[in-house]
Amino acid sequence: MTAYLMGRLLQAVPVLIGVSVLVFLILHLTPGNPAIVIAGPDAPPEIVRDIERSLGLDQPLYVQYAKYVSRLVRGDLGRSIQAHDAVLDHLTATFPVTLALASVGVVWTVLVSVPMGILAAYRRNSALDLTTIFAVLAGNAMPVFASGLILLYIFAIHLRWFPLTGYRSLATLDGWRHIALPAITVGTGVVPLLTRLTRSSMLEVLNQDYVRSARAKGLREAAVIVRHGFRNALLPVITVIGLQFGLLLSGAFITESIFSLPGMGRLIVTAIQARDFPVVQGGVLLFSLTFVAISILVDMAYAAADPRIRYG
Amino acid sequence: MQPRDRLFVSVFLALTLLAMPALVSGAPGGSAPTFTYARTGETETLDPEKTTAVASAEADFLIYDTLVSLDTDYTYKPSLAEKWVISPDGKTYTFTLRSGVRWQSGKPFTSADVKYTLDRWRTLKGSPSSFAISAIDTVDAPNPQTVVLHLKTPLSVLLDGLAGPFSSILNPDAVQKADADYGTGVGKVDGTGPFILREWVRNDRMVLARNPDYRWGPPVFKNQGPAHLGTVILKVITQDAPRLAAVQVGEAQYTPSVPPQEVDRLAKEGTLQLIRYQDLNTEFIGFKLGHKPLDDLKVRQAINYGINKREIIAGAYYGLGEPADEVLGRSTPGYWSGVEKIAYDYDPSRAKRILDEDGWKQPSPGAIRVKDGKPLSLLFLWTPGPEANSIVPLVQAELRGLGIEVRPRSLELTAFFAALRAGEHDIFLIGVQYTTADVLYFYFKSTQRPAPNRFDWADPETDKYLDISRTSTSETERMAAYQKVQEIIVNNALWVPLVHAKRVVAASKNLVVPKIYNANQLYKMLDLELK
Repeated sequence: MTAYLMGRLLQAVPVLIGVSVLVFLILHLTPGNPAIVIAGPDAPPEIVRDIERSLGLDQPLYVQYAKYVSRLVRGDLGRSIQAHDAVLDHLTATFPVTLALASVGVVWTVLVSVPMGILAAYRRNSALDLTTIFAVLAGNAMPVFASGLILLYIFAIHLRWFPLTGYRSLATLDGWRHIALPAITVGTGVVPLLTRLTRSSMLEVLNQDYVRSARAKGLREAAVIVRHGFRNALLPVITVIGLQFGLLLSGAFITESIFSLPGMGRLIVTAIQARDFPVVQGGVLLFSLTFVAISILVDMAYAAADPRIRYG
Repeated sequence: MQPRDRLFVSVFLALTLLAMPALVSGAPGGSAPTFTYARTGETETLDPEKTTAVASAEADFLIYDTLVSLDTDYTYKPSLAEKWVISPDGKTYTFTLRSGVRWQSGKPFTSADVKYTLDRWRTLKGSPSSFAISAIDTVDAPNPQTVVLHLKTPLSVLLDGLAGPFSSILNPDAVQKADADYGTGVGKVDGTGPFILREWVRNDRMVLARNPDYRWGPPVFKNQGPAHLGTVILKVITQDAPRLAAVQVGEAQYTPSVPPQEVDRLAKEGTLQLIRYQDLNTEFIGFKLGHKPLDDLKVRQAINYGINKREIIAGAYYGLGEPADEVLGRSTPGYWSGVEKIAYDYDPSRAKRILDEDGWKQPSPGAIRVKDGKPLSLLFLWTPGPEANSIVPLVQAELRGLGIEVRPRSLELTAFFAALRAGEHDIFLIGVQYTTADVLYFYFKSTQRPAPNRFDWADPETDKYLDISRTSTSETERMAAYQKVQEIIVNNALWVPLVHAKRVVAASKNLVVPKIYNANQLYKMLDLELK
């Protein structure tokens, strides 16, 4: 297992190098100049040139990349072009917010989707199943910005059960009130997929001989469903949860914008608009690392869920 | 129950309990002296010399003070300087500083702080605003209450530069202690202003507490300090709908920007105060004179006659604006009323006639005009926004009616400004906000090419008058120079001024807002009260 983990971590190195080169090139080849953003669109040319020099943007691209990499290997992600402080400070401030959003969102998704999927499969073709399928289709058709605004309108503006915007630490009750609607919003985007997957996976498993055998043994129905049915239907569900968790992390921008959460999605999009290269590069690297970590965790979860799977 | 089942049930229950608090309801809290300002963007840095962003200015005005202050009638009033004398040749400014001013850290404020600030600003590598004081040669501090600025050449708009947020006076000790991190967070900022930075969560909130020792507010406020408000929270809500809703549900008491399409609805609901004001702004379409056929005055004039500004104001601004004859609004010192007699009123028949007479013929009715085998076709660069999204198709349709093809290309904001600087446009849509008639120098001086002089306008006569407007010590001569420049610009049809937009802010009904300080909005918030 240790050797397997080490192998996976080593595989991550070329991935991160590739990501850093790609992001660097894409950013620098995109039209737009951070010096103009800082100077303001109406700044005289000499001010723009002065800022370009002070940022090193007047140097050839390969020199800029070499400098970036040499700083990176020393653990220095550089300083934000706009805010003038360390990129690491931005990442450490915003990553926990996005992580909290995605985590609570995934927990919410699992809590809703898995029972719904199991029940729909168990009561196949019943009114419950049809209702679930309808809800899933409706949820699938609803873009995140729409569901976010609807939730905001009903629960924060009309009923005033939750705050409209902002983020507080989850160590406090207030923190949970702040994260509830955003988490439900990001989760709602994933619920349809996970419900459908759980349902179809369960349907497949429930028709297997070993499930019939379990019932013939006289096991209680709940035990048949959970131990013999759901455990065997779990592998594809774990894969999707892992992938979706990664997507929720990197795709939280819209939700973060609607609910004004100071997370990484907003940080990176704002940085892209301002061509704040160091912040974008640092953020994308952190996201890439997180994706790698999640995929390793998913592999480990396979082994935990299915004893036949062994690594190393 | 089997151990594995128990584990499953336990995990399920634990996760449910974890999520439960999120479902608990409750109303947001708040106390009377805490004022929440729902803003559209985040402060980049609290080092005022490193940014020109509006969102940074909002916080700078609260934390810092400037030497002079700008009143709503665009006159300059004392602030940290209680008076100043300008030498007859306009090259020496002597400021007498207010006594009894202290930094938030406790140290007395002196002229050495002003000298340090201005010297740092002038020499700071990469400062986007240092050009505002580039005329300063040396700064002297002969005694703790006096600062003398020696200029290389007279600069009539120097006081405007010294009233801006980027000229906030800094504490040298704090700047040197924090070094490159100055202005990046709590403990790395010191000012003499009415509010002290207590907490800053980027992209969420900035919390400022009242400076209890503040007694030196500028006379543009009734209250010179301390502020009536105990705490100010600058809360970033970038999306329009949640930002307005925050004021409606009481999570915030003020927002500086109400989209025009929301104004009628909010007025009917009547739950908020809607305050309308007119700052100095102009939305316009600019021409790149170096690109054919825009080097042809007749084409530029025809386009000016061919655009219906009132339709744009109705369609894109929901009636919240005035048609613009030129860049300067009527309340700008230096505005020339004669412009109204030579401005281009909407007259599409005249536009067509001018194009016909100029040789731009339509091969068939409704076709694109052609001259010397070349079609009358223009690349129109713009960046999406609520108003621009409506303006561009209106302009495209109107000019098509004249036989002019417009090819709109929308670019994201940063790419848009880069493209303009690279001169890729034939015509472009843009807005400008300003505080003095010096905006003319900014846009039309030949040395300001390629930006902000994106018109390619290089005219010795214009340059001569613009130089006079900056360097003359005679107010009459300066105003005459501004008038002359306005006449040249209109006669040469360098652009199509479209609209001076009216601004609307929303405030809760318990907030007392005595004045909106134009583009500076609530400025230092000294007179604000929550009832």
